[in-house]
This record gives sequence, C-alpha cells and structure tokens, in this order.
Amino acid sequence: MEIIVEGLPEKEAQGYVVLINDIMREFEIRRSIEKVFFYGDTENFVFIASIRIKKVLEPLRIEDVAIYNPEKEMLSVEDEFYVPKILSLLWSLSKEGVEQEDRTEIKMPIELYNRVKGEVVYYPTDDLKKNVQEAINRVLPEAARIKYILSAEKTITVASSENAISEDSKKLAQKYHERD
Amino acid sequence: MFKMALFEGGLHRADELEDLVDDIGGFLIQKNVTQIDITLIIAVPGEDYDLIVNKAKELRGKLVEVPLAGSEITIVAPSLGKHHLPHPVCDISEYIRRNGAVTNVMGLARGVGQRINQITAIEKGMIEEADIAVFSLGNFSRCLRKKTHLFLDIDIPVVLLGGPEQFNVEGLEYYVGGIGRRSQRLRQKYDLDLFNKMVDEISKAVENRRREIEEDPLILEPMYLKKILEENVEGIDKIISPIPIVLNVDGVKVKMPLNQFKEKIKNVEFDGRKIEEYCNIYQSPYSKFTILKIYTKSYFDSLKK
Repeated sequence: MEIIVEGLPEKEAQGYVVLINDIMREFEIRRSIEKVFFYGDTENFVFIASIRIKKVLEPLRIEDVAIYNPEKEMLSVEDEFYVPKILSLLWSLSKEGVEQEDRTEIKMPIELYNRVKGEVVYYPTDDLKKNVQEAINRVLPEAARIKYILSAEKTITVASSENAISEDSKKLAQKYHERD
Repeated sequence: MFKMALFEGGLHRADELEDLVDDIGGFLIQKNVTQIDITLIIAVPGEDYDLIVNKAKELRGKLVEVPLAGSEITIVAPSLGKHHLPHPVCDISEYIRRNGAVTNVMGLARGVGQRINQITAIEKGMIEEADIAVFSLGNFSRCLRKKTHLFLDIDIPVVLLGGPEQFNVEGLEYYVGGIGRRSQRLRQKYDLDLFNKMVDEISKAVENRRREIEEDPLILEPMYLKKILEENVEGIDKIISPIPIVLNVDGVKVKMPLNQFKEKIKNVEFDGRKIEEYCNIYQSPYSKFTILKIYTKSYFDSLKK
C-alpha cells in the first residue's frame, strides 16, 4: 500500500502517513488497497482523501458458498455468515419445502436449488467499499463534516471541509479521483 | 520536605510498609488492592526515605519516585469522537497516573475544527477544578494557532500537546510536540520518550504552582486535612469510588455531596478549631462533590482579626 500525502509541511505529512497507515491497519484493509492519496490545505481547511482498491472481487453465488446433496435434498453452507442471505433469497421465492434444519443446513427441493444456484448472495466489494469509506471518514479531520464524495469501481474520493466546498476544491477532488 | 513514591508489590506484609510510613510521620495518599497485588502512593519525609527504600527491597516490591503525586490533572480532548479517543488521550492519562497523579479525561462538546471550535463556561469551570490541564490537540500547527482561545483563558496552568515539534504562542508556558492525532497505542520507545518529556513539563507546571502557593502558604497541608477527614468523618470509607478523597495542590476533593458531608464534619476539630475555620467548603456545581480549599496564612490571619 502506497501513501502519498501532499499539500502539508514535511513533518505534518509524515505524521499523516503514520496516521493513515494505522487507520488502514485497524480496518484490516491494507492488503486490499493499492494507493492512498491525501491532500491537506490547512489554510482553507479543505482535505481530500482518495483511495484505490487493488482488485474488484467477484460476487459470490449460492453454488460458490454451499454444497447441495441431492439425495438428502440438503444444502450445506460453508459459513453461517451466508445463511441469512441465502434464506432471505429462498423465502422471497418460495417457503414451500424450505426449512433450516441446523445452523448451516437448509432443506430444500432440488428444483428450487437448480433455480437459485446461480443467484448472487454476497458482494465482497460492497463490504470493502463500506470499510474504505469508514476509514476515509476516520482519516479526515473530525470537523470536516461537509463532504463531496466521488465513487467509481476501484476508486473512492472524498473532499471535505468545515465550510461549504468550493468549485475549485471539487475540481481538485476530481483530479485526485482520476489520478493514477 | 516530603518525597512522593509509588510502591508496587504483593499484598502479603504490605501492611508493614503502611505502618512504617505512619511511624516516620508520612502519609498514605492512595491505596489500590487488585487481587494479590497492591499499589501504594506514599509521601514520606525526605530524610527517612532510605528506610522506605530498604523496606520495599525487603518486601520484594518496586518503589519509584512519582513527581505528580498529590495533584489532580484533567486531560482535555477536542471531542469524545473516535478521532481523538481512546488514542492518544487514554494512553496519556495512563502514563500520568503511573506518575502518581489523579487524572480526569474530558472531551469538549465542540472543540474540533478551525473556525467552528469553541469552549463553554461550564467546560472551563470543570477544567479549572483540577490543578493542571493537559490539552491534547492535533497535528497541524495552523489549527493549533486557531485554537489558542480554548486554553489561554484557563486559570490553572496548561500543558499543550500537539503534533508540531515547536509551537510558540504568547501566554503558553508548557508545550510538548510529537504527540498529535494518533490511531494506535503509544507504547514504542519513541512514544515513551515523548511521554517522559511530557511528565517533565507537567512536573514543572505542578512545581511552579506549588511554589506560587508557598509564597503565601496554606495553613494546613492538604495531606493533613485528608488524614483528619479519613480519621474523623464517618462514611468516607464507604464511598465506592477508588479514590474517595482526591488531593489537590491547595485543598482536597471529597466524593460526597455537600449536604451529607457538612453534617458529618460539623463537630470535627483540629488544633482547637473546627474544620470549617480552616477551609472554604463548597459543592462542585458540575460533579456534586465537596471541595475544600484551604485558606492561606494571610487570609486566615485577616479572618482572625
């Protein structure tokens, strides 16, 4: 993970590199992040944080997270984290024949399984993006509550200030958002 | 002159140390028992300090001098948000406590920002109940400069902690750089060196405050007053707070509401006078604790006349 801090005096920039590193470690997202840009203008109290995510993870389908046994008509889910998501998807289609036998075991007819096995149950990138957003909020000063957010597939950029965000700051945020 | 020390050791035979402190005319400032360990903060006459060192050695305990014992310090953060707490404020508080002081942590309601930061009269009043205030602010020197009104109007000495190495502003005597906004525990060697520097600055502030008081000395040492209260006031031993009586540089704070406390000390006498004649007793409007500020000698003499 590369951290680039601009716009601040050298000592303050060094302090912010340490701070950003610590916050990313706390959120456990350092390995998923390629680059962090941070721009600080203490005179106008404008701060911009822009984060590049390393790679976009594939969404997980039911067949990726569970194994179906046709003889017992039983779906065994690998991790109970996915169970509520699968159950809510199944119950939205049909409640007939669908029964949770155990924490990770769901009884369901084979026809229903064939219908839903390709359905997406979890988008890992969504969670990562939520964490990235939280981390950005932590990095930016607490008083900078007025935010201008730009989001793309692999990039999240937030410009923030305690005052209204000027057009120039928005343009600068756009520049950081598009920067490699 | 009293020397303050912190003893950490086993509970077994620790009462021997307490007896020795009593015998040589010292005071037990604080006592904390945790399972089989005990922590004592004691004040003993300087000339008899060796006796205590030898006793601590005999009991296989650790004895360290603590410069901040007998003082109450408030650590002020710009807010109670995740940006400022628990790191570094709680680490700072813990380190100061290890040096003998009683600490309070408070977050300002609107202490963040450059333009929008502010402090209320109530917050100032709460801070001024302690002996020293430690303000823990952020990394940017420009922001520190815009926040000076938070701490320059405080009546007690203020130690400022911030990110920049150097920070000079008129009216601020004590500053320690390198401790700005942090998001991890401060336990590296570099951090501990900074903390030692911070304790040195706070010690200087406490020392100066004590010296100021010595110019017109108090008629009663706060430690004596604490002892008198502990021995004569019923119910103090039943206060569930870990430190029922907090020592200040110029008085004591009893963690009991005034209406209960005044009744109990009505008949307590010391040297032929009632306690009320030695100090100004009032209730804190914020914490509802009773505060006893000991009169200075000149004020006491003017009252007598």
